[in-house]
Formats: sequence, structure tokens, C-alpha cells
Amino acid sequence: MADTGAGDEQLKVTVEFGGGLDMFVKKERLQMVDGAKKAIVRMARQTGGKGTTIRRLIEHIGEDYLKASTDLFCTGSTLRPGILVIINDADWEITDDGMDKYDYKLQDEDEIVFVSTLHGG
Amino acid sequence: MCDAPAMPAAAPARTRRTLVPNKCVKCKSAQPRVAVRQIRYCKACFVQASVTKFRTAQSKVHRPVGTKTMVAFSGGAASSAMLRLVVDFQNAWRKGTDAEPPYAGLVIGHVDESALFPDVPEDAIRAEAAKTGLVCEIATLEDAFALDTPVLATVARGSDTGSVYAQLVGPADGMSRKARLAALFAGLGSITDKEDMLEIIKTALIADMARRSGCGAVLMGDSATRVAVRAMALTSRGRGFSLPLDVGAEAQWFGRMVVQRPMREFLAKEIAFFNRWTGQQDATVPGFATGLPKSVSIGRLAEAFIVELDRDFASTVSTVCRTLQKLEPREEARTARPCTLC
Repeated sequence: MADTGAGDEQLKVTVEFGGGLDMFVKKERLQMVDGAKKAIVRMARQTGGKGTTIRRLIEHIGEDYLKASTDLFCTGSTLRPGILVIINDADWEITDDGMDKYDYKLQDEDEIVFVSTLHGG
Repeated sequence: MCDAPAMPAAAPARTRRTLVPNKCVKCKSAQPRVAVRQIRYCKACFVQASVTKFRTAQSKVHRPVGTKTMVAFSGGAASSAMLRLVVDFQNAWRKGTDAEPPYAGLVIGHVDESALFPDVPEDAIRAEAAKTGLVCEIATLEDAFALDTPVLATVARGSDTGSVYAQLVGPADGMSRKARLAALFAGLGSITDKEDMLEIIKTALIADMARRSGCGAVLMGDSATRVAVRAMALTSRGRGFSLPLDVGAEAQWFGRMVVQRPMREFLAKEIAFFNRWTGQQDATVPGFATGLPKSVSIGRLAEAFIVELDRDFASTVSTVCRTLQKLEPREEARTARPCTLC
């Protein structure tokens, strides 16, 4: 029951790192989920009285999930250019008119994929 | 003055494609899932549009009748997507009855880089190539020392040309090829030089495999993003003269062999989504600059420059590629180009 209690305050999102990004993630943070290495990230549902955004998720990953040099993934809350974000199988650049893609509010059970398109192909 | 019969029928006015707000630009009914060049597609329409784009571009390409084609396959995202599109095109055509197949014959050419990068998932890459059922030619980097015609390549600026050349073509002195390869790369000072040498060796190996398997055309998997980055890097290194040959959509290598870059119609982003949505496996093929800061090599810096600019100006890559298309190699560039074969 403790889990349910925590669930009320925390939201759970699954994060996958593709295109070689998994190299930068601490091994212990990754686990096999549905045949792929993913990280289960639990975060506070609210940040500063507002819903937690993907901006905060990127910061959180930068602080807690990466091995050393985080600037290959993000600088602060800004993602390194060349890294794509797929939220629930859709491009994060598709937003409601005028909304900043970084302001996407995370929902429980969201599946977020970061894919690097650099040094590939 | 009779105007009506003599006047050619006016071309129908181009009507703007009707857009349904927040729906896919093509089917106008499904939720869009990806935005490419500010155009929004749903999943099915995006995959279909990619396939159509590839086939249209490939059908316009002139290949001499009966010419076998080599698909250069590194295992990375772009070449995996290219292999899938090529095989899919060839298979779709077979169902037709009257026309020639798009490719008279297909051979995969793969260079095994595990001698330099032990982390390359070589088994997975070979398994992916085997899935297609095509003949797969494989060369290892150390095979560069065993080519029938030695790699008479230019070496990167700043390196000791003579000694590098001697190492590449000289007698083995009892050293294993792997050791010679390691020594060759250890002798190169900067990462830029190493990247350049790797490119030269890979090109020579692909050309050699193509020649040996009787292919008159080679398809390289450079994406639009990659082409823009390479153009920038080559220009920075003073190689602007041969730019049309190095990154052009179609170029002649070594007199007879045609090199095409069909993936230059696709941004790296499109390739990533295409692979994801078609279930195409791709491997991460590391390079010398992988995981290092952007200042380590000219290539890496050019990559950072292009993708950072593209973040703020979304059509940067397309603009660079379009400009490149207008470049024509001068006759001197064609003939003066150092040839890795002859």
C-alpha cells in the first residue's frame, strides 16, 4: 500500500535512451522493460504549484541519471541539439499552437524516448 | 486577332493544399505524430511519404542497364533505413510484370570496424544484413593492407605523408595487419586526421568490394544532415574544390563507378522516425569523437555548428543541401581528385 501512497504524490514515467545515449546513463539506472533498456523515473507531480514539465525531467536526468559530462545530453534544462524527443510515440515538436515544447506537462505512465541523431548513419 | 484557339491552355492555377487544423497534412483525418520541415504527418502517412520520396528519387536516377548496385551498409541509422528502402523498392517492383526491376542486382557492402572500435555490435549488424537475403560482402579495416591495388590515398593535412604512406603500402615486417592498423592510427596526431584516414580506408574498401563483385553503382547512406555537416567540415579543411564529388547526390568515382547518395533527401530526424515506426533495427556505430566535446575535431565541430544552427533556423540543413546541389565539379577537380584505386 505504501506504493499507492507514493503514487499519489509522484508520477512515474518511462524513459528510453536511443541512438547511443544510453552510453551516458548510469548503468544502475537502466532496466529491461519490454525488451529494451529503459529508466523508470519517479518525480514529484507538482513543481512550484504547477504540473511537472518535461523541462524538469531533462534537468532531473541531467542531475541524477548521467555518468559524467552531462553537456552531451543537456545544458541545464536545454537539450543538446540533435537529440529528438518522442513523447508517447509522437514528436514533441507537435504542440498546441504557441506552446513551448519544453512546457509539456508530464502525465503518469508517459513513455518518453530521447534519440540522438548525431554521429549516426 | 483571334486569341482563343491559338492560346495554349493556361496551366491550372496551383491551389494551396487544404489544411485541416491539427490533423495530418495528407490524410487530414488522423492526429499528426511527427513534424518535418514544419509539415505534420500521422504515422502511416509519414512512412508512406518516405517510401514514395525514396522511390521517386531512385526512379529518376540513371543507371546503365544491367548494372549491379552495391548498398554501403555500416549498420547505423541512415544506412539501415536505406537498406530497408532499397530492398522494399526491389521487392515491390517484382510484383509488376512489364518493367525492368529498379536494380539489376543488389549486393551489400559492409566494412567491419571492430578492429578500431571493439564496441561496435558487429554480430547484430551482420544479422541485420543477412535478414535481407542479399549477398553481403564484408571487409575488415585491416583488409586495407591486402587490397590488390594499394590505397594510394591522400593523407590528412598535418600528418607525415611519407611515413603514413609507407605504413599503408609497405611490406608487413612480420606485423599482423591489425597491429599495422593500430600503429597507423596511433601515428596520426589529431582526431581530425584519424577521422579522415578512416574515411579514406572505408571508401577504398567499399570501392574494392564493389569492383570485385561487379557493381557499377554504389549507394551511400549519407543523410541530408550528414551531407550538410560534411560539406561544412570539408570546406573548413580547404577541400571545397572537390565538394561536389565528396557530397554530391551523384558522382563518378574512378572513372566508371557511379556513387549515389539517395538518403540526402532525408533529414536525420526523418530517418530516426522512419526506423522507429517501421521496426528497423539500427546500431550505434561509434567514431573517434564519440562522447567527446565538440572541439575535438573539425568534423565534430561542424556537426555541432549545423545542428545548433538548425535548432534556431529549422531549414539550415535543407538550405546547405540545396546550395550544394548547384555546385558542379570543374574538370580539373574530376581529374585531379586523388584516386584510391588506380
